[in-house]
Amino acid sequence: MIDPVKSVKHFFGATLVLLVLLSAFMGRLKPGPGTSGKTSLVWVSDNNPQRKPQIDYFNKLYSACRLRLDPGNTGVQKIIVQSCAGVGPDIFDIYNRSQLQTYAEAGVLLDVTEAAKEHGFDVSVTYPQAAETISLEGRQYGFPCNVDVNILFYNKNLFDKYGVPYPPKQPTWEEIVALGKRLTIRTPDSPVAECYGLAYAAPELLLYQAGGHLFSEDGTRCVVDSPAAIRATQLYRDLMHRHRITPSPLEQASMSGQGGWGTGFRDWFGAQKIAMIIIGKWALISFRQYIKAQREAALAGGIGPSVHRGNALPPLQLGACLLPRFPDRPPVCIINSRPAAVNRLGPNRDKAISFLEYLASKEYCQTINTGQDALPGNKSYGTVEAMHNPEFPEEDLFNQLTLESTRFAVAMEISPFIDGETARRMFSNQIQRITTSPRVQVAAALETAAKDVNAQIRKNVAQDARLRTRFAKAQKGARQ
Amino acid sequence: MSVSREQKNVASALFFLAPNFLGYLAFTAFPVLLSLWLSLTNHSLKPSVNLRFTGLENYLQLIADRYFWFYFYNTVYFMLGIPIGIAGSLGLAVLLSKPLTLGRGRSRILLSAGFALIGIVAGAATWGSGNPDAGLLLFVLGFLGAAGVLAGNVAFRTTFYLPHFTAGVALIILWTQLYNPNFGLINVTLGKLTGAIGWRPELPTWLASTESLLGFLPLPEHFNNGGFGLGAREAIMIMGIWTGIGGNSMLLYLAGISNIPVELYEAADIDGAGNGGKFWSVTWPQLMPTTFFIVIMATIGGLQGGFEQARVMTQGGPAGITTTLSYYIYTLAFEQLNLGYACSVAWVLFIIIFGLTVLNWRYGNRYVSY
Repeated sequence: MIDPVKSVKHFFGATLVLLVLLSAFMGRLKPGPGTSGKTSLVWVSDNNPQRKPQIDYFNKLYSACRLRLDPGNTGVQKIIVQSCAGVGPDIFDIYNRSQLQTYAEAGVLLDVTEAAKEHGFDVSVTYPQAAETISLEGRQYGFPCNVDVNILFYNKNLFDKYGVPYPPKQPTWEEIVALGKRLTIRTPDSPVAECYGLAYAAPELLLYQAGGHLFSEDGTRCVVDSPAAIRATQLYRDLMHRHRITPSPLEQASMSGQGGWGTGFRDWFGAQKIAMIIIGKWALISFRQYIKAQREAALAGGIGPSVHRGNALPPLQLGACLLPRFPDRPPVCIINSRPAAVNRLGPNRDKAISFLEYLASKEYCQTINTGQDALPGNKSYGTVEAMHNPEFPEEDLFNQLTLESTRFAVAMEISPFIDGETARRMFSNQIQRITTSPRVQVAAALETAAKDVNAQIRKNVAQDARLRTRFAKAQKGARQ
Repeated sequence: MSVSREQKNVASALFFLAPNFLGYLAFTAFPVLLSLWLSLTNHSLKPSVNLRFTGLENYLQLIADRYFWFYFYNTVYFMLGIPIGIAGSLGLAVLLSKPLTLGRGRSRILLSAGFALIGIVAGAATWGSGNPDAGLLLFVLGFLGAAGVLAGNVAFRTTFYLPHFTAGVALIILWTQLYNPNFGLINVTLGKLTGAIGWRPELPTWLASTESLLGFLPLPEHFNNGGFGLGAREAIMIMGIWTGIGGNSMLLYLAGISNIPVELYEAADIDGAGNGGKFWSVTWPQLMPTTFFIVIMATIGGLQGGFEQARVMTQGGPAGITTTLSYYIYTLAFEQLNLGYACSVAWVLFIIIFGLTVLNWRYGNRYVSY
């Protein structure tokens, strides 16, 4: 007779043995360093079609390495946690200065200052204004995959259709508002305008343009409640609610359901439903596709998406000018870059540095120029001549305006006493209040934002002895 | 020394329990105790911050942290939907516990086919007349009716349980579309219904609004109270109620109802009790232990909840009004890298949950008479 207790024991025992064997088998299947003797490098970046030629070039130029893309692990939290756990990528992209600061504070960025000088990709290689986007307190932590500043693109078809003159090369906000009003076409039966005059003036851009700042010069105080900041934020709200030339948050939410807003203002500009857009020249990657599709549709007798008041528009015709400015202020735009950085905790740091060297190379920069993916990180290849594409000669103007804009560009400010993402969240909470509720006073909301950020700064300083010393020093310096 | 059979069995049991137990120690007990220790330190993922024992400093700081109280208020606000969800689950379970038999043999098949046919024809006609959403709805209702006739209650139970095993993120994306202020199904339907009676009110802007039903309360300014109305908080709450009604609570109630002795209903019949009388005198008291369990679980879940919605649907906005404590813990730990403080918030949350559960046991138990 079968003993049930013994049978169960045997069953569990056999299961355990089977699991151990399966684990050993799976362990053997795990990819190792490979037999080719090449060092495997993992680059966390977005899955842009440009990545393939960029990676192919790298693998060709640096035959001792085998680079592969990991688009599934982008995100600051993922990278920090993975890196701290010893399974982070070798190289990863950084999308703004706040992230650079967060990564640096988390100790996952390799300081490449000396290596950059040795391998020819130090901060002097890139645009002077972009240097701040790859370095902190004089130490370099990466090299830009590309550099971006926004210009104002406009749709010539819409200007022509409504008999509106094109904007001048350097317009003021008054001029843009006046043009935008003539180009914003609303119908009584639709909650969303048929055409908007403008998208999208970020509050931070307006803040800098009005002469405001996020932080005091020494970084010890948030100053978003300054008169300049109030002026900028008032314009931001007015563009939505008084002049009604840019979509309000409510209109943006409505438009996302119409298949497009979720993917951004760019798609609506491409569909000829926005007359002017503040965006970088990287958007030309999409604009080229829209123009191609609209040309094909026109040839095939279709009308595509570009219908206005029942009439088909010709394929998108682009114009561009510098960003608008306040009449009493000099022109300002924000410079951003997408630096690649090396994981300090990764096992292949030396080889990964080769990738940063590659980002400054002619071969890589050429892929950026060909693909119109903003400006190349190496300023030597960021010239109108180097960016000229015989297939798209009309784009020379956009390249030239972008280069010109870099001259008056500023990098987003950060404070060493508060994490940039936290400060940004506190600021945007109040901006959201201002744009969603007409009862909220701009000055009061900005005062709350400044108060919140400053309270957090005090808290951080109280917790960190190193910050405390630095804070006291900065304050002392400011007093002197 | 000979080993007895019992000792051998104990040894075998321990041997087989060991992997699970070790896993529990390594992945549950140890992290829990570690987080308690970390909450008493200034631990940060920033290498520049040296680990220091700070005692109760984090907890004292938390009391003065106005964001903590704001997000606690948000969390509790979302929990106001729990009673509605529980009542809905009970109602649904009572309905679904009744046997549903429509026709027999061939007549059942014909009836089912009839439902399906009506769904297809009415759905296609409505779709064709320019209303695809309503067309699709009629189509689904037709097939649901057909399945209900064929499979009885099983079809409806499965349908109502569907949201519970559908991926949360997929549901959130679906609801985001439904809440579109101008083109979402909810506002379109509300607009048509109110328009039919000649009333054209300003419809809620849902996820884009900081209004709330308690917006009239004189709350501190940093609670970003947008005034009275339906806003992002209600939008998330309604979604939670919809998901919760057909979820595990409904299954627990169904199981509870099936365990109620038939004799009690027979006795109630003899006493001349109607449906309402039977529910209040038999079903409701008999389901008290189930309700008690559901209330405790829902309270725990409610205090821990809101993370997915905040992360995917609203990023905690607008103006922070959908940020819950669980999302706050996440931002403290992985955005501000302040693990010590995040742990202290987590432990305070635990204390609140534990306290409420004890209160439930202490005072809720007295209503459980079976």
